[in-house]
Amino acid sequence: MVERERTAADRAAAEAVEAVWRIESGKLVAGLARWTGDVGLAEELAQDALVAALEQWPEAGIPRTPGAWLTTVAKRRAIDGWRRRERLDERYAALARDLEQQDDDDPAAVVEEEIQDDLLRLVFVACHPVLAPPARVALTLKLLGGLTTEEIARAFLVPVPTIAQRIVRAKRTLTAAHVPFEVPDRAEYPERLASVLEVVYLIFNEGYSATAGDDWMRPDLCQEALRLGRVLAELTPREPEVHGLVALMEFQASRLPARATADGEPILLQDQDRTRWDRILIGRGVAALARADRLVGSRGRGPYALQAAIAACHATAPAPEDTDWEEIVALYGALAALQPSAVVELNRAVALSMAYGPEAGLDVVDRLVLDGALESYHLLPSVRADFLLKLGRAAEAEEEFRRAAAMTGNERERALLLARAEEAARA
Amino acid sequence: MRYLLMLSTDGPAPAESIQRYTVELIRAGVLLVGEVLADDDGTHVELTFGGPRTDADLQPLSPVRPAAVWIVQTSDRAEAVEWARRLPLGRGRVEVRRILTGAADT
Repeated sequence: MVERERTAADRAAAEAVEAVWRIESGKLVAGLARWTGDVGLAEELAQDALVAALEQWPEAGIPRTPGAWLTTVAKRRAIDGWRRRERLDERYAALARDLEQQDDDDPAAVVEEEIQDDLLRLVFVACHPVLAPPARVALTLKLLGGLTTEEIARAFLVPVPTIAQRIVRAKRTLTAAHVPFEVPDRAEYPERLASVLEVVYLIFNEGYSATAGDDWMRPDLCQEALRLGRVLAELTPREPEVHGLVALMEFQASRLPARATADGEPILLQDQDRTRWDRILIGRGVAALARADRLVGSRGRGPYALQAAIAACHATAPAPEDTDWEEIVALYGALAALQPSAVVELNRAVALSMAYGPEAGLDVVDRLVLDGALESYHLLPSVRADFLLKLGRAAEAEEEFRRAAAMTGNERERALLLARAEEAARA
Repeated sequence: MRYLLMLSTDGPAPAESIQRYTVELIRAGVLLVGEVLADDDGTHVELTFGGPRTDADLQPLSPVRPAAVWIVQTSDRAEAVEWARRLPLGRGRVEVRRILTGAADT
């Protein structure tokens, strides 16, 4: 009886320490990275501090200011370690003196704004373009998300050693490339920020429309990406595309409760039960998009803000028939002007057909077919078939549905398309 | 997972501390909702169901009453509890309750 109680108490204590870790680790690593100039070393020192916390807090209780405790322990251990290895060169000697002079009664001497600055530096370094996207993702989740290697591996359905190696190599690459622990200068800033947004959205999409595994949705990853995006919005409040991306993720996440049946079958947007859409997230999406628009105006919207505005049209329509399709057409047009792509054209075609009739959509789709775009994308013939059917061209529609069915690797999708082909045959 | 944090105190909540705390939650990316409850004139309207009629009565606020609420998005309850622990108050009580959402694990 006593044995069982102790284990439960131990688990609760460990959970409490891990909760503090998730909250503090990003700031801890960021501060240590500025202190040492080396992100990899900073992460190791932070891990040492975590070990100390796991050893001491269950007995002593969680300190009043856990962040300060962890920082102090990490720095002391670093200095002790350097002393022991006799690597006490001038720079470390200065750091050691610094630490000793610090007022013990006010270990939280680091100003809140400095912490924010350090966090932003860490974001840019973890998402550095010298790293391949999978490496950026893993490093961001480890250093900023406070996720363990195991948690990251589980989230991406990849073996643990693969992630571990990916992180080790990423840190080595950053050191070898002499990536400074700095916010990029004005010239590089737009490209570097784009890289950060790409990482965050990659994480979100891995959770939202995962292609591998049984759970095609992994909500935890969506929430992690949302959290990172919201943190970033506070670090770079004057960047409209940051708010645009956050808005897009809030809107998409708002649909998570409605996207699948109890058996895990996907439900199309127009068929979803809108009472299950998360209204808190929709409200946050609207607010985030408004923040973006206040900065550059709705005519100055970038690609993320435009996609968010499209999502907003759906999110704010009480029923599918209330959707402002004409607005969506205009938004896809603006998006196509900024980031032309065949997929955007296809979506624009669907919006055109909803706003102005299937003929308008068919024109755009036929052009895509002529261009040879999306040759192996089953949605192209599927959408075309839908337009043809609405125009009364049933025989052609049937042919296109069968073509689409043959192109998709997804069993459910194929069954659905073949069923529509049969329907068209009977029309 | 989503949690409600409800702060109850025996007086109005110290606005500045509450504000700074809420900003911390925003900066951490975990805040969904954060609101302070008005004391108004020390009364609230109370309805009690179950009798022959349901009257809406003006009642004085209890000595210890809800003063502020937050809704946070965290990985688990331990994280929500840690956030509750960080309220910079010398007195008061926080209730941590899990919110049922429509999606699994969100």
